[in-house]
Amino acid sequence: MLGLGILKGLSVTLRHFVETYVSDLKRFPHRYAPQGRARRLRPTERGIFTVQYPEERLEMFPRFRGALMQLTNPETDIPKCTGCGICARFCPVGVIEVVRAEEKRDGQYVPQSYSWDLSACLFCGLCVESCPFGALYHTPEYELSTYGRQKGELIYDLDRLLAWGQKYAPLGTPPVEQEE
Amino acid sequence: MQTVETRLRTETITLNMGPQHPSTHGVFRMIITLDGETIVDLEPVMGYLHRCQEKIGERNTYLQNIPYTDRLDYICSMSNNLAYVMAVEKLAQIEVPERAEYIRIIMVELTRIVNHAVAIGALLNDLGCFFTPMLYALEERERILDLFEMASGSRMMCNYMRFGGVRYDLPPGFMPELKSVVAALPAFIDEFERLLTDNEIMRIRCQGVGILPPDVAVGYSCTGPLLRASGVDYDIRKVDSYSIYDRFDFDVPLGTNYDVYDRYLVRIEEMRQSVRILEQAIEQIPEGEVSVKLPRVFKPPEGDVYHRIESPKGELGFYLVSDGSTNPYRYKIRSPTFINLTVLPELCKGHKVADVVAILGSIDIVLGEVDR
Amino acid sequence: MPFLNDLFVNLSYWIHGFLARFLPLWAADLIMMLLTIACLIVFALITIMFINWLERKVIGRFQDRYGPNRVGPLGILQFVADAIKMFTKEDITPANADRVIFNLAPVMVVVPTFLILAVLPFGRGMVAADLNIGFLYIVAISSLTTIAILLAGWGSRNKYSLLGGMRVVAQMISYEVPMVLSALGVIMLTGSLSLVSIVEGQSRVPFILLQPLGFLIYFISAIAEVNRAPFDLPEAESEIIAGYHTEYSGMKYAMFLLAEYINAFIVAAIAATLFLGGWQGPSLPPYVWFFLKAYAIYFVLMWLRGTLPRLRIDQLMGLAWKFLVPLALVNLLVMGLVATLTQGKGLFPLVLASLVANGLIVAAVVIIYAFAMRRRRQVEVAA
Ligand code: SF4
Ligand code: SF4
Repeated sequence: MLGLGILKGLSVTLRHFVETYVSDLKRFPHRYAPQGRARRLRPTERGIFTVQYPEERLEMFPRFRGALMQLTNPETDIPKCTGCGICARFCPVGVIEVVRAEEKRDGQYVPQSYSWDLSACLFCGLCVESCPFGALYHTPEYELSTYGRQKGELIYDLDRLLAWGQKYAPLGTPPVEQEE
Repeated sequence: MQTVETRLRTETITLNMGPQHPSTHGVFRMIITLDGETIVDLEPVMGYLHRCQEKIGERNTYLQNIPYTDRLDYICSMSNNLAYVMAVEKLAQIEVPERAEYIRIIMVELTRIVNHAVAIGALLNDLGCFFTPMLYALEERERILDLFEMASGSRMMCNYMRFGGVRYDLPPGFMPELKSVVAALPAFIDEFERLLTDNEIMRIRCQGVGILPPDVAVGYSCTGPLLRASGVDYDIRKVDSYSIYDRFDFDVPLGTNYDVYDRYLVRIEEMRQSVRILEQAIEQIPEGEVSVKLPRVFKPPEGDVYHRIESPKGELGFYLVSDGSTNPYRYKIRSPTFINLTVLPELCKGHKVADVVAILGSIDIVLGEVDR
Repeated sequence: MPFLNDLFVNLSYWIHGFLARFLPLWAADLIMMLLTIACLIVFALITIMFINWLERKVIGRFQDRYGPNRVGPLGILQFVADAIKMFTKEDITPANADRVIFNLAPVMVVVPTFLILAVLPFGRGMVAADLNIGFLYIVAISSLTTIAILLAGWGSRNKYSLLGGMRVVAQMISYEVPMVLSALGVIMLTGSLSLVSIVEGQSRVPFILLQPLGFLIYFISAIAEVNRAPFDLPEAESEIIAGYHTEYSGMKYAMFLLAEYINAFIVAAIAATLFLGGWQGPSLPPYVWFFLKAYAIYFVLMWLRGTLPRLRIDQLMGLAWKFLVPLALVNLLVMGLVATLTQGKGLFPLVLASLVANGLIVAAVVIIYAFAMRRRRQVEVAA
């Protein structure tokens, strides 16, 4: 009534204004989170909410569905994937292409070629869910842009997927299983 | 003697609002006939975001459709998942384990809070707030989306529900996090209300604007907060009490003046009720299985089914016809906002240009769902 | 610190004296004039850059974020990036636009703003031209902006622009009335239109203590005058895209932006001059006081922008004609009475009587409002 409601609203925004400085002070003298590892604010915490992206990043949850990776069996050192093609069949947009190799290696089928087209992937995770051999999993990788799509940079072949597997799951267990 | 025309003769102008316009919430076009700034006529033009969602649904297998439902109303993917999954469950008569039901309710109610907060923020943006309420709403949404990401692996395109349960069980650490988020929600809603509810400008902009009488609302088959703000007590959670909604104690808020302001109040109150449901669900959630084993190649029996839920925006229904194969024969979505939007011309006539955006904001549309 | 206090005045005397040593007096005067003009323009440009940055930072804080922080320390160089962007943007003239008017408007919109700067007293003796009709000049000049904006709206041949232009005319003309009426109260107290003597008249007590209501009316109508939130209807982005400057791009758009920010600052500065005592203040140099006060008012402008939704056009006009104008008239009448009754009785009775009178006016408004509300409720119940 007669501007009291407006004053009430103004007090709310002013509180946010002041609290950003309080949260700045807590961080003082650093501007960014240590080692660039941003922290999610607790529900009761107030102040600056944004993450200053290139300087600091959030850590992804283990289940985060990022780019795909192919896992390697650490004992035999060959890909876990058998080239069965089930993931390709389950993919709603058909961005996975698998060809199974003619002969087995160490008594296991292996793929002759495997490709995943990032540019059309929905990151739905159905491929991972369907793989009967636990060969496919998501990396926490999300910075996947390239400067062009002509050179096939967005199409990942087996080697690149395996390299990611080596990087993110060196023991052959995806992070989500390590956690649980 | 000739009669002299004394009234000033003015002409109407036609204004194309959209498809590219800051407050059409996507690509939506309104052909407005204006007399000065007063609206004489309004014609909504939809379909700029049409993606053949329903035809694609016939090509996909049942499972492959779940990620597509995420992209219907991209603000509340969880409830889209739920509606579709429950339709298929009804078709194939799959029993859902207790714990999965609770997880689903938790996710869907969180989605409702997200949606209403964003809807109010967007409404205020349309009213001309410089993004402040929107950003406060997004902050709270961010906390809830973190929960979604924790459980399902993705913030917006959750793809979490499965036939007969959910994709995975809740991860360790989820429940404490959920509890603290839910505990902080009432404070957030209170602050939101302090910022907006009594604000005189907000009131004069919203009260008495876009009045939708109950009979008109029912006549246009509006659903959701729009219908309830028109004073019609119709909440599918109560009417059908699908899933396990009969176990929770909550109220259905109703509007009394049927205007934009009432829609805002109804949304705020529904957020509070969702918090109540969440609190009860957190208390009651049992341990146990979260999904049933289904064959890898899933073929529901022949037949057809329609299942509807109360999505945050209204009645979201899926109509499926199965011919016994792996793909649905027909896949039809009854999207709430598409039908709610048809009432827009009725609401806008006689108002000013500035009111159109407010009314549109109060209907709360997401074009991904309108055009499918 | 007498040296710091009169820094700029002494500087100008010194330069003038220096020039007068080898130039005839008229030439020295001319050069001094040009120098002053150059200073004012540079000042205006610096101010807009600073204000633009400040506003984004402050509103960012209101919204729990930092605001621009990529370019330079604390993002202070953001305006350079923006300026480069503006310069390099393609300059588009719509095919059907009225070319002359379309190109004239952005120039016309900045000229009045620079002209107003001439009479602003930035500090003791720091005024480019101490016109004895200073305030009248400001009112007259700032109305020119209306025409420029209407030209922009009309010349673009775009319906949104036209709507925006129409809104500007309606709004600016309506709000000029309460603005001038409330400022009249101040002029009544000093008996002069010159801004310098208005400031000097406040050496004992700033006029906001005598006329809080007048200040409020002035403030509200000034916000509307410069089309700031919550009265930014002419450029309401959620309704009519960008209003009158929808069709402008590149440098021409930058002109509108410049005029807008500078106008907002000028309004804050005038409010500080009329009601807060301008450059008067203890210990700090006068120009520092002036900027402190002006920016304090500007902060409130930003705060309002960060909080409030905007009004609708009919409500905006209603606020001006049904509320602010009558209130300003009553205020003027009452303050005139108070000033006459307490004449020659010293400062304290004046302040006391003014405050009491203001309180009475507010009480009357509240009572009338309560009655109106009850009446409305009765009508509603009856209906
Ligand atoms: S994440 Fe989904 S869309 Fe992407 S490759 Fe896997 S199944 Fe296909
Ligand atoms: S990733 Fe899994 S599903 Fe896909 S081809 Fe390899 S083994 Fe089969």
